[in-house]
Amino acid sequence: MNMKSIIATGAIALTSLSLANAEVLTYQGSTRWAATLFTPNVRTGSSVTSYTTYYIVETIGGNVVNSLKIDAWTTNSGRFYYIDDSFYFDYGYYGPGGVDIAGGIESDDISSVLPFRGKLKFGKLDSFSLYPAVDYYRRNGNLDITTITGSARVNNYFSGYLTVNFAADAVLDYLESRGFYEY
Amino acid sequence: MSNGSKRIALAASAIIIFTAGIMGGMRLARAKQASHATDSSTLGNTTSVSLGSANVAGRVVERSTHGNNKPIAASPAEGEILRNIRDAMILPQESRTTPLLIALEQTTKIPLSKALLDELRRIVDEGEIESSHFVLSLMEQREEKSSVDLLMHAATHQNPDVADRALFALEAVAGTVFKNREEATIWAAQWKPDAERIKLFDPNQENDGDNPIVSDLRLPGPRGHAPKDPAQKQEEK
Repeated sequence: MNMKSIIATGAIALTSLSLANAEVLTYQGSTRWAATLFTPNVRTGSSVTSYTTYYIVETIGGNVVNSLKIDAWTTNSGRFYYIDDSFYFDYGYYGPGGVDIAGGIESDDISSVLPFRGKLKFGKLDSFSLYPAVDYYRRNGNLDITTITGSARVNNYFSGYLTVNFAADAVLDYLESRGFYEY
Repeated sequence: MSNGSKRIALAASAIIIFTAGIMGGMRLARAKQASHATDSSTLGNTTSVSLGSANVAGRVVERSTHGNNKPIAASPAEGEILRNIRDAMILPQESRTTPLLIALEQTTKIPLSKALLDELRRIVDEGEIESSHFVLSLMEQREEKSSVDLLMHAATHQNPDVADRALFALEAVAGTVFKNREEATIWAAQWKPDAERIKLFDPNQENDGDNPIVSDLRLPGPRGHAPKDPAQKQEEK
């Protein structure tokens, strides 16, 4: 094996190692949405609903590199889940010694960042709650999201040194085992 | 026409006008419900499937007096919220969900008193999906023994949709997955609230004015509509 091969093999090994060591934390919680429904020149209505939400966040060295959100809900006609794969999750540290976290969530349903604040435990984001007092707009349709509230805590069962896809599959398997279907 | 006949005619007219008024009001209410049903049926995309409880008429809630025998509220704020919940609860099923959930969201701002717990438990016991799930979501956002107790109570509900949602909430609080309800029961008996999470979930902490990062945060992504850092905006000028 020549030097180039050794370097190439080493680089691949290091890359694989760094990928394998990416930490995925899955936060389980719920979101409650209040919306105003517009039909121009006809009427305005309001609506409120809630979802069970899984936020799957992959970090390397404390930086978020990948994230995915899964919402699950039940209606009289069945149990459903929705995978938001254009979901973004990010945060920064603040407070004395950087002990608190403030961050934001961007979903494919809404056009602005949902801010949240969180708490650290053992140097990692342990739980967070969404700020309720913001006006959001849905990307499509005549729906104005007036308030989104909620909270989430880390769920160790779906967390570890793995990939976002692996964690997402575990969550989906779990949801499907409880009678949920993709919406 | 004699005076007697005039009186009878006047009374008959009054009855007709009164009856027509009632019927007109009922028609208006039905029309609102029908138009709502049409609206919500057009919402069938992404996560909006369970938004089907939109209701304009439900916003106008008159104060009822039926709550006189209920536990006394600990504060004026709690009294107002309890009144709103009770008023919404007596609305017809098809028009009560939205005003009820709006009132329930306000409970995040007050302590979980006995009076409030009684109301929340009543909603859970009734088993209507949207409102019971909403209550369970609210309980999940607390870090208290009594909120976990209510979740455990809901986990034994005869309606599996309520019981399973309660188990989700318990798993969220515990940060794990339970094999069954018995495992959740064992966990709940040993569980202790986390002081940091109590602080985190306290809405009164949100206005501490010590959170500069939230307003400056920019998320990655190709769409470019996240708010920009004010400093960067200045540089671009």
